[in-house]
Amino acid sequence: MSSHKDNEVHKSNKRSRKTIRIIAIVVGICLVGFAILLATRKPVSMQSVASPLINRTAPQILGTSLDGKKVSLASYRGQFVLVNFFASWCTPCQDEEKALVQFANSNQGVSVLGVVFDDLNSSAAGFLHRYGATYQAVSDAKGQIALSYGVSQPPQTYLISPSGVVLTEIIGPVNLPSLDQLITIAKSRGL
Amino acid sequence: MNGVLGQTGVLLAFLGSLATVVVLGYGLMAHKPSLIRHGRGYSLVLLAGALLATVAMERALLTHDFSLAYVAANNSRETPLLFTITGMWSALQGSILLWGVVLSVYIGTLLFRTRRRPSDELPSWAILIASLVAAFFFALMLGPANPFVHVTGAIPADGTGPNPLLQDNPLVAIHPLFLYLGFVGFTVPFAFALASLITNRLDEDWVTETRRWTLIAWGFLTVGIVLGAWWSYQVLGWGGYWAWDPVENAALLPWLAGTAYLHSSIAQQRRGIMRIWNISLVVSAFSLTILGTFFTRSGILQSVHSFSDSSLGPFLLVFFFVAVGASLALIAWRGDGLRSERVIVPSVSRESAFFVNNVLFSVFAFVVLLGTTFPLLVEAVNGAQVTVGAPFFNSFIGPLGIAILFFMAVAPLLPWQKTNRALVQKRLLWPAMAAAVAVVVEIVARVHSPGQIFAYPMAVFAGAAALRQAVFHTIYSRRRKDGVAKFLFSRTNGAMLVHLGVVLIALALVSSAAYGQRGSLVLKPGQSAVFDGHTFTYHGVQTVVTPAKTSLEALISVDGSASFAPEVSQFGNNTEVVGTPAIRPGLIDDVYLTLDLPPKSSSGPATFGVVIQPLVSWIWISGGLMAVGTAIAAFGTKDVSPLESVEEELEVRKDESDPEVPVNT
Amino acid sequence: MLFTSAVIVVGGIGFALIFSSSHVTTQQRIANIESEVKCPSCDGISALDSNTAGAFAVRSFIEQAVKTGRSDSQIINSLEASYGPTILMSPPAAYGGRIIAVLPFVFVALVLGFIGFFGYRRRRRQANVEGSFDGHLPAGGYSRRGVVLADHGLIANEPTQAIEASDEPILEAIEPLADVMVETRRRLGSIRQSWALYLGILLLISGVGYGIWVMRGQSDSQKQLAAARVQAQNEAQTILRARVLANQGQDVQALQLLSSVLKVDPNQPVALAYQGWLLRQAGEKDNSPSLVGQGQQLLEKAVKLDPGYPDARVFLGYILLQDRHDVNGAIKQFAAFLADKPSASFLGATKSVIVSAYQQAGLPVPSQLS
Repeated sequence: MSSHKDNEVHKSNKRSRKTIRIIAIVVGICLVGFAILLATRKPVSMQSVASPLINRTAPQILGTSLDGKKVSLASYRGQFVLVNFFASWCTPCQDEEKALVQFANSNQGVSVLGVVFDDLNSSAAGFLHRYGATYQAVSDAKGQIALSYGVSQPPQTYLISPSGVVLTEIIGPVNLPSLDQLITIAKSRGL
Repeated sequence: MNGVLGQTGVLLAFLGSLATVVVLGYGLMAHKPSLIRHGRGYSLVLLAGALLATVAMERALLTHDFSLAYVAANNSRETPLLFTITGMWSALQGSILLWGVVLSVYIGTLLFRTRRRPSDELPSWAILIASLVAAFFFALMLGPANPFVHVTGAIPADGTGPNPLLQDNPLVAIHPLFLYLGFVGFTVPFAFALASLITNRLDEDWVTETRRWTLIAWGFLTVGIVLGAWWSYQVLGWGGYWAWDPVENAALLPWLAGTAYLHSSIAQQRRGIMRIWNISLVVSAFSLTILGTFFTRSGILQSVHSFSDSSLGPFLLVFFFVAVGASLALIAWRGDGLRSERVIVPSVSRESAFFVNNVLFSVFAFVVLLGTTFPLLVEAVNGAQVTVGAPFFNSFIGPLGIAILFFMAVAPLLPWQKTNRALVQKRLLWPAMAAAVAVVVEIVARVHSPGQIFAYPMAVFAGAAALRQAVFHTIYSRRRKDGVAKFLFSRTNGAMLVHLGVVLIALALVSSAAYGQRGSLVLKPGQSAVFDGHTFTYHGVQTVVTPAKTSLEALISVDGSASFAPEVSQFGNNTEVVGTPAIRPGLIDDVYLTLDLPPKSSSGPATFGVVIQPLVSWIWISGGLMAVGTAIAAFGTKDVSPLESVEEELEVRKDESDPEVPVNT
Repeated sequence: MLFTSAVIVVGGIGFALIFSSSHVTTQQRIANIESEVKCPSCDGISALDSNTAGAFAVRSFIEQAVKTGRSDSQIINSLEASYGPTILMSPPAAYGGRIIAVLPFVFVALVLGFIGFFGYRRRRRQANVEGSFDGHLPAGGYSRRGVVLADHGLIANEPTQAIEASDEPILEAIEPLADVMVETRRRLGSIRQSWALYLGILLLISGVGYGIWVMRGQSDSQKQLAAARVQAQNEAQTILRARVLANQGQDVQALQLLSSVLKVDPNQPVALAYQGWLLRQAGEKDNSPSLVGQGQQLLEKAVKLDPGYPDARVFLGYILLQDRHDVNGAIKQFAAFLADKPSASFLGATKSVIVSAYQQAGLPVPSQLS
């Protein structure tokens, strides 16, 4: 009697052990996959995703400049435009402003158009004046221009081709050498 | 000096843990009691080293020893005392040190508690495994996360001070501490689970032994999570307290696994069932703490909390992988022995309810893990960045939460093993009536959204069930002529208090989600405005300069009471401006004020953000209730075994011949 | 009493659910969209919950867009067009939005299938073990075994009295599920053991199948989206070409081009409007009322999708006036067209017809036209 029972129990245990092993292997495979997924990810700070606006027609910019004139991006057709979103309170904007002013004055056939991001017009104007900037800057009181360009955090800069297409998005401060390079490449491609 | 002391401590702790592992391991394999006793002793070296390193770190912080890079980066002469002390865990290296020292203290306590049975191999193996974990963390401190690195170049005259977000609120001081106490606490049950697999002592011993440990870890983690929510509510300025941020989820995941384990482990203790499940849950809880730390420290997830993306990521990931892999291998190896002789019968019994609740918690955890890691998956597949936020989580957690509330109400009322219809009916009566009243009230009050319609009665049902059980236990004790206090602080009552806390949190969450109001007010000095029944009067701004920060405070009174001062501040050398909300807390609702747009001139208009959050204070209160409940559940008086209580209750029922219990329905 | 309470709870919840207002106010609709959009400068906090400048911009954009009659998906798509999918609080369908919504269900299906399958196997095995040593037991062993089996919930090959005695409480249990299961087991005889197996297998297969289906649907929709993206870039140009062709009298080619746009994006209002207009003209030429009717339907759809699109308004007005002789309906469309301040050239081309409509209705001609 008992030997028969033991036999059955033994068989059953053997089978259940097999089941557990199969499950453990399946879970293990999932674990390996999960670990590989995690191991191959880069930190968010090192990731960059291209703006969906690139190679699309630039959203229109219609507004009033800080000195009260009507400004339209469409009126810049036929030349490269660097659209720069900035604020007086943003530290990296302060870092890039010198380079930006230099670039705007270097006369490479590129116009710079500033767009005020979440700032008082007076502070923004003061900020530009402090760095001797002479280019136009548009007030964007409701943030709608920034929204149409997908700006999250100033400074953010867009290079727009003479035909009105967004060529590049630069997140964070710009610097002179890379701007020069960018323009050269854009021009050489006949954009 | 501090650096040398600290470095010595870390090295000592590392060697101590290594020695424990080697000597204890050899002793246990060879079954040599003298070696085992010897090996256990080495974990005292680990403890001493860890304490030494901690003392050195605190001393360096208190004396502003800027020769240490960590102190220079996280402390300044202007930093207030409290934040100087908590500077130890305000950045990566110090947090790892905190992890190490907490683990060492746990190991030391474990050693002390098992000192009378050194020949018992189960706790000794547990000490070995916990020491292995400690060895990993102290190795990190010797290598990539060394907290005692000297500054390069000249010693700076002053440090940069902690992150502005981390020096504005005292909660930041204790919240990480509790989180770490909870996180690290799960190492002990994990160590025991593996020890039971290694020693092939797969019965209920390890579950019984770790019950209190798990409760302590779980309680600390609960408090840590609630404090974290409270901190983010008070500091981050958006009026909410939970954003399903990856780091919040990282703390929630082990909590969920721990909660499931606390319930299913009772089933194993009482009935010897769910053995593999319990081991899996404990392994999950532990490995999820490591995974959570990996999420926080690797910077691969977009989070408010990613203060550092460090080089620790790969190490933590490998450790996570090894821990889970080794546990899986052990489970597979011992698989046959893990089969309990009993199975759960699909019946209306407590174990069935626990089982369903466990399934619900697993789904809950899966949803949270999925939502947290899904952006990584999308990024891996097509390189795009996506956000998985509140809408996804709420749509799943809402229904799950309601289901959990239901089983939370029913489970404590059900007897073990067999259905006793009359008894269940009697126990369900009061909670069901309370739920009925809640339904009537919500119909009268015209509650709209389906989520609330389900959530309120379920919460009331669960709350009434918990109350009924607690009251019953206490009254029953008087019949038995035992002291009321003894039964008031019984473990069951502790558990029911925790349930009440959960119910209150559920009520507060639902109410604040449904009836919260937000708006913005533009006011000139002297002007008043009414929003959601509260009157706001703006009095003007003032600039407050303290050594640590310069703030612009806007004085605004709510309902004619004293002034509140939402502010924007600039900390020390940081150019970043941080807004600090002002909160008028209340048991019915909180008024939450932020200074969204400071006035241009002192007479100009200022823009305030206003959030009215109903019942939100109850979340923090409930956190406290849950902590007390957990403490009672861990250290309270033992209950009479439930079988006895069931029988006795039946006798009581016979005596009273309760007319309200219908015989048939 | 318990029964009454349960009825009140279930009935009350049902009542409250039925009578909970399904009407969504504009405010609620705006809040809904806001909660689906992330505050651009935040991590995981919606525009609704945030007080940052970016959130204000998003909120005022959404409010404005809702006012001008744009649909929820149009608003969300236009934000996604400038920020990419990160701006949304949940991933859009093309970025795994459907997978993430379905995976929890797949997980539940797998768990249930797993429990059903192994629970069944386990019990059957134990039944075999018990059953096999059953034969060697003296008759007196029944009572003891009855207890053991009740413990395990085993019913297989048992003398009836033992089952009934041990299962009595379960049978009377308030949970109907348990009743049903016990009942089913008893009635179905030999099949009773297999239900768990079948259920488990069914759930497993359906879970896996569902997963595969979703994955496939996903890849299909991804392909579509990729196509749509390419198309969207060319869409405006395609429509423009179609209009030029239509002006040159090459209606067939124009219609083909427009249909290709509509195939990818059936809700493209411009394409709908011009397609409708071309169909109407073709129908008039061929004297086919059904074509005119199709054209009118398309134009009505275009007006519904984008109430502020003047071309659709004016085309629909033409049809109503000239084909349907519905002067008042036409006037409504023309009024909407004029309200949108159309360009002078467009106005010039359509002026005479609109003026005649107003004159037919006996209404004063709007000042814009005189």
